[in-house]
Amino acid sequence: MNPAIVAMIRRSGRSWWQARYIDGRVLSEWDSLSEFIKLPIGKGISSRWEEIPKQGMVGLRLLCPNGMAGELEAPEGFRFFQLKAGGISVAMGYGSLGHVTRFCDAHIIGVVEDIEGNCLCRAWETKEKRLIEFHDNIYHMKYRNIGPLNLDVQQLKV
Amino acid sequence: MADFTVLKMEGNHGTLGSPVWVEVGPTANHEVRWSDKNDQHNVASASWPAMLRPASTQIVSYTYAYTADATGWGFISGQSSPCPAFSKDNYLWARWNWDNTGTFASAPIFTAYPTTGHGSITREDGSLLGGSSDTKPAASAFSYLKGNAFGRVDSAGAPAAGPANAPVVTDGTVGSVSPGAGANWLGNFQSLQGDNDYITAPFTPAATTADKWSLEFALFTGPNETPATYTVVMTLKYTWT
Repeated sequence: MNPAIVAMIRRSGRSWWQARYIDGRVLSEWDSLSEFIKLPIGKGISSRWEEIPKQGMVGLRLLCPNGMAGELEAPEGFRFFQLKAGGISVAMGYGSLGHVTRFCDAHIIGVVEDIEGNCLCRAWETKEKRLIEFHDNIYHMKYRNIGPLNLDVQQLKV
Repeated sequence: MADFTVLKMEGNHGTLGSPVWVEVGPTANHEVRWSDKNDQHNVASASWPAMLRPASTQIVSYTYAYTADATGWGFISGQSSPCPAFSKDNYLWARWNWDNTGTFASAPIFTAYPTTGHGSITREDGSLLGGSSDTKPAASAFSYLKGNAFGRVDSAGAPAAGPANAPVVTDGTVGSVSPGAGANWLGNFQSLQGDNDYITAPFTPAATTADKWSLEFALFTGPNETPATYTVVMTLKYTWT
């Protein structure tokens, strides 16, 4: 990978997905940003996974700010999913410290392995600053109590 | 990341007929407070009365939405005083409210933590969220903070009635509970205890569509709660694409 891109990802402090297609094309998350500058800098806004072509997608990578990358592969498209797990916390009784906190605990990519919904996942955990691998199931994701994934949003064909 | 630009919790200090929604927490002193007194309208935080630990368990009846240090009304008060006592039938109590810029990837979860660190909570540690023998109907101690949630988003139909049962101090189910999908509340309130006990929506909200999820919450206390100045971090855990 271009060293400048690697440096930008490190500097962004967040992870980015990158999809590989059967015809050799590579589509990176920063290519889909709505911002004028399409580079992996800053937080990045409005890149929509649901609008990314899934036909022919045979590889999905997670490029992490510590320089590591995790890749998943499948023989055909519509097998991959991508999401972030986090939330919003609203402080009560904090008085002058009162505030709202938005947080992202993990950036997850996965590939469905069988019709039972079993899947292999990799996740960049933001607090721990580590890339992990785990097995789960899209019909009841145990990881961080996520529960069933919405298959329509992910455009999964199982 | 296509997260939501606007996502907030709101409390109603208007009425059921004419709700007035107040965002919780966006700036200093924009907060929810509880009291066992019904006349705590426009009271500075430095003068907020302590509540004596009761000899038996009881609900902390009065919930206030403050927008400045000394500016606030009771929930469902119609912006008048005194503040009405908590009632399960005040079905437009609170809600999560989001805009159309994000997409949920799974059903959202409603729970509470003691801090924004979202750490694990030890059952029966005597704290507000950990609970004690006061909140322990059987094997597991539940939170003193109870929650309920509606089975559909407001665009599909906002609540027109409250839950079937009023909250009680021993309410709770270990793990996740969900109201039935549709115009349903949880039959019994759920313990809000971090990752131990929580409410999972029975739906994944529609993609890139602004909407709301209606809630109720009620706070209890009892003789075995450790006296302290407590803070609570109400949390919507969710995934997005």
